Amino acid sequence: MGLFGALSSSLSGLRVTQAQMEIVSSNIANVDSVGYTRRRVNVVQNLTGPATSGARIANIDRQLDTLVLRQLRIETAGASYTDMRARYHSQLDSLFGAPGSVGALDTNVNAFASSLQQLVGSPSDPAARSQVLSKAQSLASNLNNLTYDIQLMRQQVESQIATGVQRVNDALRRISDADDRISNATTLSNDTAAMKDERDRAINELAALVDIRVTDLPSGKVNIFSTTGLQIYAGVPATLSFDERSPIDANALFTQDPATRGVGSIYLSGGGGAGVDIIRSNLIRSGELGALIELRDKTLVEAQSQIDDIAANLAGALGDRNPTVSATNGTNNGFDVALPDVLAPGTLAMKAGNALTIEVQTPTGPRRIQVIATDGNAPNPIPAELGEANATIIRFDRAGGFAGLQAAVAGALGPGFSVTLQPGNTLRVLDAGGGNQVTNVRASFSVSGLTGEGPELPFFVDAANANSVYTGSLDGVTPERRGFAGRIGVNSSLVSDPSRLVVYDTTPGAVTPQGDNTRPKHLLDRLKTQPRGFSASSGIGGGPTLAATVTSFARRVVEDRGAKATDAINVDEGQKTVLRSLEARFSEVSGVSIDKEMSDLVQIQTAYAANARVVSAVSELFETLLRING
Amino acid sequence: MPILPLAPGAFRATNSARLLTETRATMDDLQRQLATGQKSQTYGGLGTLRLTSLDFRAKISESNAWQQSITHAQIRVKQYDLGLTQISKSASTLRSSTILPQFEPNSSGKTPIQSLVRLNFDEAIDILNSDINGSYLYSGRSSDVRPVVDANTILEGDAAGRAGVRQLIAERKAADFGVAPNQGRIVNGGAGTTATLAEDGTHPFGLKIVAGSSTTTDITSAFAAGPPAGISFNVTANPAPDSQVRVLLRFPDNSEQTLTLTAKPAPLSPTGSAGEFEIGATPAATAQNLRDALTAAIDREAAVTLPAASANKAAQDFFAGTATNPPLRVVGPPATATAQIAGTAANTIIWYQGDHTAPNARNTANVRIDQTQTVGIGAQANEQGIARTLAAMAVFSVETFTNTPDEKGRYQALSDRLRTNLSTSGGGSIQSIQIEISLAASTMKDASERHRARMVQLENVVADIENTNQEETASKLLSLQTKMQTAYQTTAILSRLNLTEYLR
Repeated sequence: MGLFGALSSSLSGLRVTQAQMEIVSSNIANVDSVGYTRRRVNVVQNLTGPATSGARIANIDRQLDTLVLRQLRIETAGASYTDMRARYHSQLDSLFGAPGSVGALDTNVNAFASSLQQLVGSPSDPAARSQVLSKAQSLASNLNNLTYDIQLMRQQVESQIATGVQRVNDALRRISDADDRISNATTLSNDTAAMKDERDRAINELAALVDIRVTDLPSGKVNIFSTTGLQIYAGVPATLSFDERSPIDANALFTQDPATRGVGSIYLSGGGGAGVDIIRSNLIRSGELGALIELRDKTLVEAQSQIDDIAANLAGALGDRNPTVSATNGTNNGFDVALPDVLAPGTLAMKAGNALTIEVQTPTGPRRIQVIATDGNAPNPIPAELGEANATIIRFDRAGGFAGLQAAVAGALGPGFSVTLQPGNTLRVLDAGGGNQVTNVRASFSVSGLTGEGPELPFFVDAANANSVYTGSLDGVTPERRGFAGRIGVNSSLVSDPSRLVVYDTTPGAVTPQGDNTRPKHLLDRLKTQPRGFSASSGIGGGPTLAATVTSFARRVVEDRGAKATDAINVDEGQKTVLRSLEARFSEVSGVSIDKEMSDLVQIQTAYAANARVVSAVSELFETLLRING
Repeated sequence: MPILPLAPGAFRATNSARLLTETRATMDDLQRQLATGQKSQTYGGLGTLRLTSLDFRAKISESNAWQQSITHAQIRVKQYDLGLTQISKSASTLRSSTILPQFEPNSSGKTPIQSLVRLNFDEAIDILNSDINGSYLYSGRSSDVRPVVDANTILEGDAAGRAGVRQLIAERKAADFGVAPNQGRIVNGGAGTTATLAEDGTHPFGLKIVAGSSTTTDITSAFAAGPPAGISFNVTANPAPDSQVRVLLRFPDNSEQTLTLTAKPAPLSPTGSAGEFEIGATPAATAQNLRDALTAAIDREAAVTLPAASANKAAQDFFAGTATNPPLRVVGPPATATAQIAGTAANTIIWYQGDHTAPNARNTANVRIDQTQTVGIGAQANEQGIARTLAAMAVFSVETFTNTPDEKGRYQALSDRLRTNLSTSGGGSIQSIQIEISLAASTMKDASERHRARMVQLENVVADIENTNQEETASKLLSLQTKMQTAYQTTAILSRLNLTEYLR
C-alpha cells in the first residue's frame, strides 16, 4: 500500500466525516421537530479484498426503542381520550354554576322553594306572588339554558367528530404515502429513516384519535387495526366517512337504525370491512374519537336526562293529583280508586302518560303492575325502561274508558284478584283469597286547569308546545319527558293571573279566599317532602329508580356532575403522568441532545482535520518526489 | 393540558416549560382563591364534601325563608297589637264612664260621653280596615276584601235604602213596645179579685213573663208557661201590709228584672208610690189597685228599661250578621209584628264583608315558621269580642235622650248593659284575641332565634367547605412563589449550561 492508498483512505475519511457532519447538522436542526428521531451514522472499514482501504458509511440508524414506541401509542390514545373527557366534564360541571352563585341550579331551586315558603306566610301579598312567579321563571329558564348548553356541546362534539374523521383519513393517507416510499426505498437500499419518521409521526397522530394496534410486516410496511380488531390500514388506506348532522337537540339520539338516528355515524369505505357502521358496532373505544362518541351518546345524553328528570318531576310534583285511594275491608281486602276527572266526571282522569300502579302479594311472590295510559300512539308494548322499575308495564288505550281500564287491570292481575267498577266509576281491586293480597295502589293524574281540581295546578307546562300540560305522554315521536327541560316554562295563564297561586276553587259560594294558604302550602310540601321516582337513565342512585324529593334530586344532579368532573380530571391526570414518563423514556433514546451532538461535532472536526492533514502530507510527499525527479 | 405531538429532542425543554406553566396555573388559582375567598368556581372542585355544601345551602335558604316569613308576620302582629290595644283602651274608657253615668244631654240629645263614643267607633272601624300592602288584617282569609263598611253606613244605612243600626234599633224598639195600652206587648187584665198579665202573642218581641209569685197566701198566683205566658193573681183576702207580689220579666236582650209590688195601707204617699198598691176596702178593691199598679209598673218598664234592652238587642243582632247569616229584621208593621226574618244584602247593611267561614279566626292566617310548626295570626273583625264592643259603641252613638227622669232611667239602663257588653275579659274578648296573637308571636320569636342559630351553624359548615383559609392560601402562595423563583433561576442556569456556549 502506497501513497495512493493513503490518499484514498484519507479521502474516504473525509467523505465519512462530511456525511457525519451532515447528520449532526440534521440532528441539531431537527432538535425541536415533531417525530424526529435522532440519527446516528454507523462507520465501518472499507474492505478491498482482505485489506482495509479506508472507511465507509454502513448505514444511518434511527435511535428508537420500538417497545416504548408501541406503549407510547397506546397511552397516547388513552391520554387523548381522558383529556377530551376531562375537558367536557369540567365544562358540564361549570354549567351548573359556581357554588352559591345566582346562576347555579341549586340556587334557583332553593330560591323557588323559598318564594313558595314566603307565599305560605303571606298568600295575598302581591309581591310574594310575583316573587314566586319570577323565581319559577328563573328556574325554568335555568333548565332551558342548561338544555341549550348541553345540546350545543353535543353539536360541538358532532363537528369535532367530523374533523377527527378527516384527520384520521389524512393520517391514513400520509401513512400510505410513506409506506409506499419505504417499500420502494428498501428495494433500492436507500435511506429510509426520514420516511419511517414521517410514517411514525402519522401513526402517532392516528393513535391520538383512535385506539390502534400496529404490526410491522417483513416488507417494511405496516398493518393497522383498531384495538377492537377492525383493520383500517393494510397497504391501501381505508377511508372513514361521517354523516354529520345539524342541528342537534335533545331528541337527536344515536340509534341502531340509521333512519331514526339524529346524530351521525362513522362508516368505513375501502379496505377489508367496507360499509361497516363503526359507531353502531362500537369499534372505537378510546382516543379522541372514542371520547367524543362517548360524550355525544352517553355523558351528555345522561346529563340531559338528569335535568329532564328535574323538569318532569317539577311539573309532576306541582301538577299531579293523587286521587282518593281508600282501603276496603271485608272478606276480601283491597283498595278503591276514584277514576273520574274532576272537571268532566264522565271521563277518565287518566291522561296519556299517567300511570296507575298496583302492588300485590301472591303465593309466588310480590308483583307490581303499572298501567300507563296512551292516546293510541305509544309504542306497543311500552318498553320497560319507560315505566317503573321491576314492574309489568301494561299499555292502556284511553279510548277504552272506565271499562277498558278495569279490563286491563283485571287482565294483568289474573284470577287471584277481583277488579270491578263500582258506582261512580270507582275502581275496586280486591284479592280473591288463596293467599293473594293487594298491598298498595298508587295513581297520579295530571290536572289540566288552574282551578277546580284541588290544590294542584299545571304550574310548569310545555311552553314550547303551546303551553300544553305536561303529562309525561309516550304518544309523541319521542317521549314527552325527553328534552322537557329545554321546553319547560311557567304556565302563561298563571303569569297573567297570579291570584291563581292561591285561588284554587272558583265555585260560587266556595271561592277560595285570597288569604288562604292551602295551595301554596300544598305546593311547597309537594316540592320538599313528596318522594318521586327518577328514571334510571339519569344514572343517579345506583338502583333502577331513585325516590327523592324534587329539591334533593336537583342537588344530587349537581353533586353527580361535580363528582364525575372530578373523577374525569383525576383519571386524566393519572393518564398524563403515565404518558409523560413514557415520553421521557422514549426521548432519552430518540431525542437529540445538543451536548452530545456538539461533542460529536468536535470529534468530527478533529477527524476531518486529521484526514485533511494526511491528504496534505501525501501531497507534500508527492511534491518532494516530483522535485527529486525534476 | 391538551396532548401535543411528541418532539423527542425537545422533550426535556418542553416538559420543564410545561411543569412551570402548571405551577403557574396553580399559582393563578391560589391567587383567585385569595381574591374571591372561594376554593372552587364549580361544585366539582369542592371535592367529596360538595353534597354537604349543596344540602346545607338548601337548608340555609329554607331557614332564611322561614325567617323572612317570621319577619313579615311580626309586622302583622305588631299591627294587631297596636290596633287591638287602641280598641280595648276606648272600650275601657267607655266602660268606666258608664259606672256613674252623668246625664247631661245636649240640644241634639246626646251626652258628652256619647259624642266621644262616636269618635271611638269611627276610630275602631278605621283600625279594623287597616292593611299591610293591601292585605287587610281583619278579613280572615279574604284578605283582599275590606272587612268593614264605613262607620256612617253602619249606623245610618245607605242611599240604596239598606238599613243601618239606627233603623234596626227603631224597628226593634217599636216591635218590642207594641201598641198602647198593651205597652211592652203585655195585656193587662183581670176583673173582680183577679189581676192578670199576659203576653199578647207568640212572638219574640216585648217583655216576657218568666214567673210570678206572692209572699202572702191572701193573694194566690197562677203562672201559665204558654207561650204566650201569663200570670194571674187572685186576691182572696186583703193582704197584710208589706206583703209583696212579684213578677219576673225578661227583656229582649235576655236581661231579667223582677217587678215587686208591695201592699200598703191607704192612703199611699202621693209621690214615690211606684212599686206599691193600696190595700182597699174589699179584696176586689185591692185587686183593682193591684191591676193599676201592675199596669203602671209594666208601662214604666216599657218606657225605661225595655227601649234600652231593645236597642241593645238590635245592635247585637246587627253586629252578629254576616253575608250568609244576615241580621234578623222585624216582619210587617213593627208595633204588631209577630215574626222576624233574616234581612237580605239588598235591604240591610252587612257590616262585615270578610271571611266568616273559618272555624277559628286565628287559623285564617297561618304562618309556617318551620317545616312542621305553624302559628295562626289571623283575625276577623266580627270576632265576638270586637263585635260586642262595636255593638255597644254603635248603640251609644245612635241613641238620643231628652232630659226627663224616665229618659235618665233609660240612659242608666243602657249604661248598665253597655258595661257588661264592653267587658274586655273572658272568652272571645278582645283581650283573649290579643293573648292568642302574642302567644303566636312569642312562638315565632323562639323559632326565629332557632333559625338564626341554625343558620350561623350551617353557614359555618358551608364556609368551611367552600371558603379558603386566607392565611393558609397566602402561605401556600408564598411557598409556591419561592419554589417558582428557584425553578425559574435553575431553568435559566440550566439553559445556559450547554456545550454550545463553551465551544469557540
